[in-house]
Amino acid sequence: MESMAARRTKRTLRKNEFRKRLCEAKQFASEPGSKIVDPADCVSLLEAVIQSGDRVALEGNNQKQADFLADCLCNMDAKRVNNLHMVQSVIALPSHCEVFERGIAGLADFSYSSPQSARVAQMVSEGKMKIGEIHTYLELFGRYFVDLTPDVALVTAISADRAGNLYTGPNTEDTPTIVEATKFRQGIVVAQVEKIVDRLPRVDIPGEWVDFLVPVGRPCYTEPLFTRDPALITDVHVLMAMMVIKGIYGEYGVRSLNHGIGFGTCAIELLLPTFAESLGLKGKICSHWTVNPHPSLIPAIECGFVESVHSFGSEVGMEDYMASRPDVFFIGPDGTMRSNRAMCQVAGHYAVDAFVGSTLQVDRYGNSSAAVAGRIAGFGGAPNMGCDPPGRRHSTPSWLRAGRESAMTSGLIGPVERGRKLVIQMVETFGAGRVPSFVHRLDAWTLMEEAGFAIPPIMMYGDAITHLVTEEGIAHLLRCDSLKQREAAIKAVAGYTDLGREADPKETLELRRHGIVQTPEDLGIDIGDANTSHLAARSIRELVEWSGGLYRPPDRFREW
Amino acid sequence: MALERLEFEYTGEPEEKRNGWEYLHVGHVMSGDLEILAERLPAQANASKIHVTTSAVGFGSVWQMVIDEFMATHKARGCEIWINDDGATPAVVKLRLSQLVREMSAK
Repeated sequence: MESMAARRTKRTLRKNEFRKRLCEAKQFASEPGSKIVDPADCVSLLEAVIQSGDRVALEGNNQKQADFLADCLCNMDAKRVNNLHMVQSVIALPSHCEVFERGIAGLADFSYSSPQSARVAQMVSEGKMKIGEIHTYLELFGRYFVDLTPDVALVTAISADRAGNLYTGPNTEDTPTIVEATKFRQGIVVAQVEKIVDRLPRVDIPGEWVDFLVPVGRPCYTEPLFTRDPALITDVHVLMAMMVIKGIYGEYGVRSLNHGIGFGTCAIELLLPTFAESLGLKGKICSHWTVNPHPSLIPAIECGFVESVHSFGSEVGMEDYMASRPDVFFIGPDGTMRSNRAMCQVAGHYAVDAFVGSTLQVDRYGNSSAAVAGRIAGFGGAPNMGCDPPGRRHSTPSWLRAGRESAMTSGLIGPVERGRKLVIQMVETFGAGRVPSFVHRLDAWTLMEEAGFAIPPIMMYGDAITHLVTEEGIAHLLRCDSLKQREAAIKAVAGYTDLGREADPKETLELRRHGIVQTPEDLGIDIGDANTSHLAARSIRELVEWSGGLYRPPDRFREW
Repeated sequence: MALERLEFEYTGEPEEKRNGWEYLHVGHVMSGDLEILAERLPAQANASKIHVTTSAVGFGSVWQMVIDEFMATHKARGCEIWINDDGATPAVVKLRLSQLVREMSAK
């Protein structure tokens, strides 16, 4: 047992340590007693509040980035401050890598790094970056409150008042989670903001949790990550989307759901007002969403398909449209949307009937991975949405139906009824450049060997997948009663890939007879009729028209 | 750009009743897609010739499988078909062929 004195010392050490740093840093305030620091003094400020070996949460989200603070972090004197342990959701910007290249940071615990995946892999192989673990968002957030609590948080907001209160606007994203974890363990919070104002539209982060404000005079970098141009949707996407709507959403009565990023799900969203409506599914499916505000949802919202949308983050250009629909989006008393990645991840994990994602590779067991050799991309939130949460206890019709159909889950719990979330993977049998999506060995195994991971980075394990949808048809994997049967069902929809060619036509016919595999024909869908003319909008411009001019797409998506 | 040319021929009685079309065109040549042009042969013809010109070299066996399977299901006989392909996947090939058959029976 520790002595009383030792306990007392430990108790006060951390608090005193940060108090000392704050006193030291106060010299950089624009005037005595102020939290405001001139951007020109920001590097000095960071050198005062961050010490070698610290855990630093640099706010990197899917959308908004604390880009100014990231640049300042890179410009610190590496001789003075080094060996930092970065704990951040997303490694997205070149500066997120630069801080490792310059020897300021050494260790990273993160969730997602797709935008910098090649560089991350290269830095790992050169020994410039060590990876602690790669997490899902919820796991990393969880660890912020267990063993990866940040010492210093560098966050971003739209505006602040002099007391330090922050207004994050629609892109609230990870800020509340990062700040809460840091400040309540006495850490230091620095926020970059576009400007200081006298009165904020609303307070997203209380001022006493924020130590320093850096008004940079411009908005932070924000990526329109979830904008998909409908013009790029192909007839094959439409075919697969029709199958999902008719064969799964309509069949199970999927009311609440999450859609991943991808053109297949984009096609589903744009077929709701047309194809789904023609099947009489309005009011029966797709009413409650946990998704980012996809512009491609606008027609379904305007047609009255959608009752609610809660979001992880915002989407550039959707602000005014969302503000006009407080009946659908989560809008504050100030009239603007507030997102929250942690809350939306929880919702997407526990509270939805279905998740639909896409992937690059699927093996014969249905394990899927987007890992490519030479690239470390991480997981993001997909594994949390794309799984059946064992802790779920509430029921919905879709959940109960899927549970009843699950032929392999009763093995360990006896004759007790239990539901199941639908986890749907949409994947074309061949990807870009005719690269087969169905493989004997996932590239994840190669990446594991290259990067020295303990296990291959599998995005979704086969046992989580209830439905695999390709242009060949739907494999209702949950209805299979053995791994062998699951393999046969996967091969049956794997088309002309090597794995698909192993399918036994007689066995496939048998699976179709039992409703385990359904082709478009079995579903009453004419392949020749699958084309983009069914989409409610076929261009970004048409989405703008649907929104009554309120959706303002970024310039790169404008062709007019 | 290297191109590969493939030829396929199928014989048999045309099953679909002879509709009024003479020439048909579906799809378009662009990356990952293809166009199909079809010409109706004289009434007595019961063979179909398919000419494939593709930018994806070395996929002859996959073309054979996709077109064999298609011709086994749809008795598109008595016509000549030209496929101009810029790297379409088998999924796109099947879909465009299905669209062609739909056009054939619609006209």
